[in-house]
Amino acid sequence: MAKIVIGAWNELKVDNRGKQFFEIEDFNELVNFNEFDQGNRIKAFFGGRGFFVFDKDISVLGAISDYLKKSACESCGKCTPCRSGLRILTEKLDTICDENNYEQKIAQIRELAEHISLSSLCGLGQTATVPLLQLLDNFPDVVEKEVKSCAVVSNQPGHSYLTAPCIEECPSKVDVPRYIDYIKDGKHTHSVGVVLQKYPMAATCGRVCVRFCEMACRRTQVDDAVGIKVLKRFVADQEKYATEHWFSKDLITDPKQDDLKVAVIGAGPSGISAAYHLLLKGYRVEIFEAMTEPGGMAAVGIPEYRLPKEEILRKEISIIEDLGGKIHYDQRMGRDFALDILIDKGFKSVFLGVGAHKGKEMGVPGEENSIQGYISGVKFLLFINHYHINIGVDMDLGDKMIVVGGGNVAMDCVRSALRMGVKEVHLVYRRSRNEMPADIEEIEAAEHEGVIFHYLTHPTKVISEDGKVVGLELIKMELGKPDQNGRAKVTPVDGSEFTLETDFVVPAIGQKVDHSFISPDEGIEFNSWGLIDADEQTLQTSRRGVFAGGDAVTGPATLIEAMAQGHQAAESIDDYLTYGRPRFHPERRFQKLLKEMRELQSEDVDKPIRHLYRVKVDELDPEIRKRKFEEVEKPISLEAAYHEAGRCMRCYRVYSVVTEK
Amino acid sequence: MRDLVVCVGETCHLSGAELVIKNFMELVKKYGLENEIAIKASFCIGSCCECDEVSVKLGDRIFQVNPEQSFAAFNQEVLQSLTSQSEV
Amino acid sequence: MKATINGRHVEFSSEQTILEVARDNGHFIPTLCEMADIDHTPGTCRMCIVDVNRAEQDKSQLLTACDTPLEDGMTVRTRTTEVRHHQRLQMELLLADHNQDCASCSRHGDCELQDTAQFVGLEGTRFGNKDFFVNRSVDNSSPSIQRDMTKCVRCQRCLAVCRDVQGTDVLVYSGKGVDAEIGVRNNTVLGNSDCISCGQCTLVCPVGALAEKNDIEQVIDYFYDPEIFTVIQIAPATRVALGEEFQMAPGSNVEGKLISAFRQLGADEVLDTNFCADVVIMEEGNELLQRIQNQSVLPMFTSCSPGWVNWLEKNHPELLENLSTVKSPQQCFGALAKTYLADRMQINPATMRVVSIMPCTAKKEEAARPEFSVDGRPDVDVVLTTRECARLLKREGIWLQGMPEGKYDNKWMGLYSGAAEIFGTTGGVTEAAVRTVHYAVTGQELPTIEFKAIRGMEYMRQADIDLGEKGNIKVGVAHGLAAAKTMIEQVKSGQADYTLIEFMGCPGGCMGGGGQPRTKKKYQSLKNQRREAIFQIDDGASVRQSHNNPCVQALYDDYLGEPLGQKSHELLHTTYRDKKVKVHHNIKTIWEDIRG
Repeated sequence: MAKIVIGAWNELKVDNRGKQFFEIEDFNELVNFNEFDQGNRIKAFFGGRGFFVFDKDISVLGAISDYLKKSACESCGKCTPCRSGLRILTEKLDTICDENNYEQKIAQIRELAEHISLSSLCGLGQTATVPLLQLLDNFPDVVEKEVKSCAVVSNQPGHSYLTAPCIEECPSKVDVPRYIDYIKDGKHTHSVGVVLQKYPMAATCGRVCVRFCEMACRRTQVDDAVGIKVLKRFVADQEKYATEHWFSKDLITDPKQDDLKVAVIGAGPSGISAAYHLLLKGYRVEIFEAMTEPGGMAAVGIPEYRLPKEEILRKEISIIEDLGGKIHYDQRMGRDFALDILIDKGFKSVFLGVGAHKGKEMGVPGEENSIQGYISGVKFLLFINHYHINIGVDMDLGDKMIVVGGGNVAMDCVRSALRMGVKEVHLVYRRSRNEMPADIEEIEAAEHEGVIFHYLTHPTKVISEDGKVVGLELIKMELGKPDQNGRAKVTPVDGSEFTLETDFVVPAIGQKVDHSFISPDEGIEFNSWGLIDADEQTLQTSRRGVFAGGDAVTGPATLIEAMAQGHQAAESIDDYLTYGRPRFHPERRFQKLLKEMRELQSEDVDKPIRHLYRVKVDELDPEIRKRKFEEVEKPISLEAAYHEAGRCMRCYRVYSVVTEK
Repeated sequence: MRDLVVCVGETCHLSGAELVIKNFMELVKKYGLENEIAIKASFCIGSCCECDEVSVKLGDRIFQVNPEQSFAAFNQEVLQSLTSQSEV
Repeated sequence: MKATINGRHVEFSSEQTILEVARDNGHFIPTLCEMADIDHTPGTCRMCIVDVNRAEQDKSQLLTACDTPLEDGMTVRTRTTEVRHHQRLQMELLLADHNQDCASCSRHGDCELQDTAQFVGLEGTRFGNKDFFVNRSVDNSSPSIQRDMTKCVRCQRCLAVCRDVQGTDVLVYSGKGVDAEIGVRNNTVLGNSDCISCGQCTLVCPVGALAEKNDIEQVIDYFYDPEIFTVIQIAPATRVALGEEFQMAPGSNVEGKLISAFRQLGADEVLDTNFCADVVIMEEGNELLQRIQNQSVLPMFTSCSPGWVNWLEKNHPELLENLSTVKSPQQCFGALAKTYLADRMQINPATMRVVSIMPCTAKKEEAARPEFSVDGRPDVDVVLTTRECARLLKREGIWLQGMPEGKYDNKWMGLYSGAAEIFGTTGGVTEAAVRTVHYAVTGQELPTIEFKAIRGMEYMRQADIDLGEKGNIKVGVAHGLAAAKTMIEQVKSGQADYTLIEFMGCPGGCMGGGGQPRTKKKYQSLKNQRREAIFQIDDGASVRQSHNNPCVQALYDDYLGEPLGQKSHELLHTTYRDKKVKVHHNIKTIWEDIRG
């Protein structure tokens, strides 16, 4: 909610001058716009489509001049209008203050601003002068008054923020256009450097991320989204930052006191990310991992043919050790140690990244962990990973297997089963193909490899004889009308039960947090879904000094979200240990602000753009690959990388606020 | 070619199935039995002893192996059965 | 598909840009950064603005023509007042951060930026500011190429050529805003990098940002110093291209005129690199036969292209033994001039200065190699590229077209064979070698004289040679470094079963060298004419084979003895060095760089 004094945004113009504050109606599209941080009001807001002023008492032209300076700073320098134009424009605004030749000066400024906006190559140049043009077009008198009375003030208190739709959509806020720029420039070392600013697992992410960024990519309006993930993988594979030890303790120029030790529970994505950032901030970190290998769900939940563990995952995680962190394996919280023991050992803060590993049950009669041939999806993958990949022994999994579920874990199970030699692999999913949450590429790959899919089918009973699974009873479902969330209800079709013979039943329908790591008197509270209760901003649990993140807090989610939470928790732990209180982070405030003004951000591409088709990623032949655990996705060539990077339209824009202090 | 199947189910896994498998793999190599014995892991071979030993199956015979004594077990169960087979 | 440009209907296929269709239909749109020959439309200069209405839309937009696809039903206007106004403003902005010291720039009068300013009808420059370019690099570390980034217009053609055409990928885009420039990979200077000095980047640079090192002053010093005895050597590829700088028809052979010109300038002896090309064939041909006979390292790689030799030393030092140990014709010339020629002409070698006129920028670096100096005196003192030669003549008031046809008149080094002249094009060294090797093995000349099987412009070629009772040998040819890379991969994987491979660093061979005359907005566009001219010189030569050159015969009879003999080894053979550099990165410097 905000009371706009003057404002112009796209076609909208608001002029409430002459009204008293209490007379102005709230502008509902701007949510939570009163304060930037506590007790610090937002007086004006500038963005790529225009501006809003909430307080008469500021220099609008001065603020816009600062906004342009920030944009000029971020100019990549490739295209003429943005590179030279913005610099010249800011210089002219700096010297505008006097009464002489006003008309002429303003005309020249306007001419430059319009030219820059219409002829710049990328989003930054195209949007940088828009607030100025909006002001000049809609409120020329405000400008004249400020100039002639020499009231143009620069460097008013405030903050600015450079971003793009892909950046905002990424949970870790990776600077996507920046790392793509570096590929275009030929500086692959710097490209991976940008990614490594957020987390150490760049090559892993480049293979398995769900790509929120690509979902927001504006290029989709022209042809296809830019292959952001595949480009990340390209630079991460090329640059040997792990094996060539780019990281070392020398990087830490500002070590904290020795006794500020942090314990991280779980060497999964959230734990590794938290440890990484804490180490970079100068803290001593020790990780306690229950399994004998690092990586969490990335290690056990993702098969070898999507993510090679030794060459990629473990190498990247070794960066933690390069930075001086220690990882203790086979240390299970609850069994080998508890929170109090950690405190006794001198840890001043703890991060819980225990994940959500426990498989959900199907909830049907005959379902028992102890019967031969019943195994949950994650456990199945864990075992294959451990015995077949790590130790190298073949598995005897019978001839027939049924996997129940529709997510990526289910796909991983069926594709792994084929590779283990199971002759008939079925997948049972209660909804339709369109609604399967798994990546479409995984579904298609599984189809090519010969998995038998049963859609709109749901298990009703596990059939066993002499303690061994022999079959699974199933019932057909039908789709009903969509509910208020757009999801169609599925109902069983009476009398449509049928039985499939099978040696194995593998439910892969979701995971829960295993509570065995904590006892009730340790002060960690869980919510009604069984997830750790953690503050949204700080990720602190109900126990002081203990923070949590990743799947254990969000429920089973994605690698990138877990890593983002690890980063967030590291910042909170830093605030807690060094400042004793949560601090304000302007960037996070902007991210929240922008999320809440979604409707105002139009992302239409209004110019004709050449079609440059998206790079095709080669894969191992389905017939060959279904029998091997070799990486299916082949790397792209240098040429293809340059081509793909060239498709990025660089949709940067600057946002800024003027605040009270 | 006969299958030497080691159980890696819940209890057997916790009892040290991994060690048994590793030891068996080494022995197969040592005795040059790659063309006669195929080691496999299975999630259950139908006989839980509820003890600290690992269930192993060779042909129709199921026996328990103490991981610390896998070499002895291999000699006794596997090599014996091979020689007795060739006598037949 | 159909559209309208300036009121006239045009037909086109989808995915064609407005610029392409405009050009096909005779509509001129001023451009700067684009270069169609190398498929380069980065859209950075933003000069090619046109006024466009998309189908069924009332509102018109100003868009750039080079990177905007023409759509069905579009109306395009290229010359409205508004368009011209914005083009001029763009030009002013482009000049704002450009070092406008045109008077002292080597591209003055030959500059695409100056041209574009004319095309848009520039009426004034309001925005120039020295601060805008003062932070950019001026790099004179390379003996061959100088980088003056204060003049860079960020067209990125050099990046495209280095990366896509040559495949060397040594240049990067660096910096932000007005400080942005073309940098060298791993944050180093050109002279200390993986750059091999091929100079292809200087061929495409529209302005004076990338150019050959300027050595003209030194040559003028020599000419006007009465104590100095100057010896000029002219390369095979120079004579068929130099005329372009004087508006002569492409492919004109200006050898005679150039000889007269140098004599007029005061050169003491004007000679021909081709003589030493013949000498190189004698040495290299015999080296090949020796390697075959002794079953030593094969395939043998030719070694006369310094760009190629640099590339091998920096990227595949493990294959240096495959390189022929024979020096390039330029270097053989320097060595022989300061010994054989000096002796015969009774000139004190300490007063002799050898100046070579080369199509090549890498030759400057080659002449400066420590291996090619004796007692601190380089065998070749100065290398001038074809472009510098033209500038030298113009500076001294010589209009080449008007010069009489001169002739070489030196009895020791003044003759060359047709086989020597064809060194100037890809496949030429191989063909020349075959003419002599065939004779050496079978005792007979090639029945056809020429060995046309190896001619052509494909980047990788091969042919079989029938050597009578010695059997067949297979020869390969690669030109341009991208092809060299592929060929080397084949050699390493064992797929390349050649006995001899000719490698040329530049596309087309020397005639496409980095020091040759440029053609504005085009890349390697006159290769056919230059090539034709080279073959014509060979056709018309009185002696067609290196071994039949009487001066070469006299050289061996009277001075060197046998090819590969001791004196030859002293003067005409060399060694190579491992120059591979492993760069160690650390995240600290990378992050500092990123944060700016």
